[in-house]
Amino acid sequence: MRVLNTPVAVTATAVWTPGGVWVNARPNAGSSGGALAAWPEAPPLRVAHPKARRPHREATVLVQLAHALLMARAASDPTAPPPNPAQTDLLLGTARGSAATDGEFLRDLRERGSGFGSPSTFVYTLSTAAPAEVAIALGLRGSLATITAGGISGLSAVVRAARRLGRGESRACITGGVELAGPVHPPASEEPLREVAALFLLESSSFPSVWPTLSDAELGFEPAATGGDVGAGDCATETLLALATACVERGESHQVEVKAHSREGHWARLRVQW
Amino acid sequence: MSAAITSIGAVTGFGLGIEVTVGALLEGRTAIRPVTRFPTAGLCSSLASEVPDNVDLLAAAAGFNQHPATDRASQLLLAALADALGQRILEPTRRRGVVLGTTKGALERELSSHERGLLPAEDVLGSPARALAAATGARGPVYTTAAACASSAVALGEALALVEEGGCDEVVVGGTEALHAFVYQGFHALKALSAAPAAPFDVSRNGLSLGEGAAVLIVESVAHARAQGRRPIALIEGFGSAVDGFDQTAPDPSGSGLLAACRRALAHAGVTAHDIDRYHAHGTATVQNDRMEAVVHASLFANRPVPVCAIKGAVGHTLGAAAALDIAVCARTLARKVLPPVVNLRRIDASAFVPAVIGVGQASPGGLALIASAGFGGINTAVILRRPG
Repeated sequence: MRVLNTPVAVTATAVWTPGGVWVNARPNAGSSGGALAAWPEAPPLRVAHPKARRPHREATVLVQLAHALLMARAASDPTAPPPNPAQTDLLLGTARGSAATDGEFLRDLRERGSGFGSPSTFVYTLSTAAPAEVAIALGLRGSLATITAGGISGLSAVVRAARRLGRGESRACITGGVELAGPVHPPASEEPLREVAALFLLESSSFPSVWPTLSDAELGFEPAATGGDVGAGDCATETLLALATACVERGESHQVEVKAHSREGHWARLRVQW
Repeated sequence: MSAAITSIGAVTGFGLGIEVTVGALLEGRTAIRPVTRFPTAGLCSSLASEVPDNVDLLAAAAGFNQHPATDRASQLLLAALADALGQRILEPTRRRGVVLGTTKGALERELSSHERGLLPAEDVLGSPARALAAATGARGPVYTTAAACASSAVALGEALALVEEGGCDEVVVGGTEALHAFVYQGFHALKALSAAPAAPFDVSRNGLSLGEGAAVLIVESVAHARAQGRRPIALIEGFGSAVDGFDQTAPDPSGSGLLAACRRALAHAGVTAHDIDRYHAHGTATVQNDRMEAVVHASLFANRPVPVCAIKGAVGHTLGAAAALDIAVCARTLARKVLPPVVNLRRIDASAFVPAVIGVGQASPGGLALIASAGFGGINTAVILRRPG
């Protein structure tokens, strides 16, 4: 299970945190507040998604970030053909899923009555609604799904995407993780939820490239375990930022192992090689 | 490379047991009845397929040596697991994975948090998968897939991949969905619910009926099954998925996404549409879905009258569990060489014409089936099953 047959390259990264937006650059989680930072330079929705009809906030975030991801890929190596949208998959990890929108729809029902919920809000109570908006906006026609595996849902999605590409089942995949909180509050005993959206463009790489590659991607489950190797606990942000950093910074050793163990017992690891 | 389905369990509106559900389907019965679990006054339907809360079900769900599941989706799932396992004993191992499809998971726990103005403290989508992992001793990959109404088809596709990759000898695949007022009121808002029981492809149909249920399938490599002396119920030959990028709720009328998914599954299986003996439809009974599937059927099979089955007129639309239940029923009826009818279908809509099975079950010697699923967000999947020779 540890070996990927076809090299899998990370050809672009785009990360949005409370600290800002980083495209093909080392991200920063930000030090204050839980909400994503403002992004004045974000591609306007009319450019990134001309067909948009009342997209939800999570959809807007993902569409803008995915648009920036593909633009960065096109700019980074114009000699390498870009991925074919018809063969590009979307596989995102999320622990919270549509919890924020669920809360919004529930308030809607409570305030307006059980027969008067907003249909456009209800659509976004599916965790795949926002990624589907990315497919509509960018013309992607591969597979589409979300993965949930506790606090390492995002890293788990990257592992599964890497394995699909490594086996030749797919040519390209936009993967990563998204955790948005919305206007509800975490339990008083916990830190404010730090929002994050981190996207990675993976491509099967049969040609020499300037990009790092992924290997040794693996998942497992140890329910008795607590804590972990990296980013113990609810570690969505830390894990995704560690992966993004490993993909954009060539360290002294030519490989970095990114691994994490969630408090629910899920674990994931993969190796980034330069 | 194919994988073997060696155990199947299910719980539906007909009760606990895959054979209970298959038996009712073959007789053309429906489990869609007036909703009892929450009020439906003022909504456009009052019907659904609810799982009866009987003693057997609760005992089956509570029978595993672990903390009892407190959410209904997990309870349904564990009851289906008990049906699947029978006397089969699973020892903990890293060579076993769990992949679960659901759209809302342990929703009531999340809603309880929202009622207090809080975010849920756990991933409610992932909770039933962990209950399944705890009950089966799975120490390999354990995760939940969501892909709207194709969620548990994607879970099966992942299981096939995990077996093909060689990291797992077996994968416990599940699909589960509990009926909640929250979701029911959402489908009311979308004007998707029918006041009458769902009647896929029928000229008088005007929407879907929701349902709840769960299915569990144990998928393993053919070599592993053989080594353990287990005879496959069905072989999973191929899986394909594609998004149509058309709209959040309506499918592309041309069926482009479902056609692409079917062709990918056929290619994966190394067969052609000409080899398929039955088409197990998504069959929601919405006008848009049924017409789209009729277009796909005509295009894929070049107007060859490949018989069409669909179960949502009997067990309702169980959302994240729907595909797993479709696959479970298809595998069992393939094994019995019989086609289940499209329950509630009396006269086929000419604008969504398919050669559907009407009335009661029919004998069918064919051994290769295509199972289609389509979900919100334009997500489409196809699974190819073969009856072992």
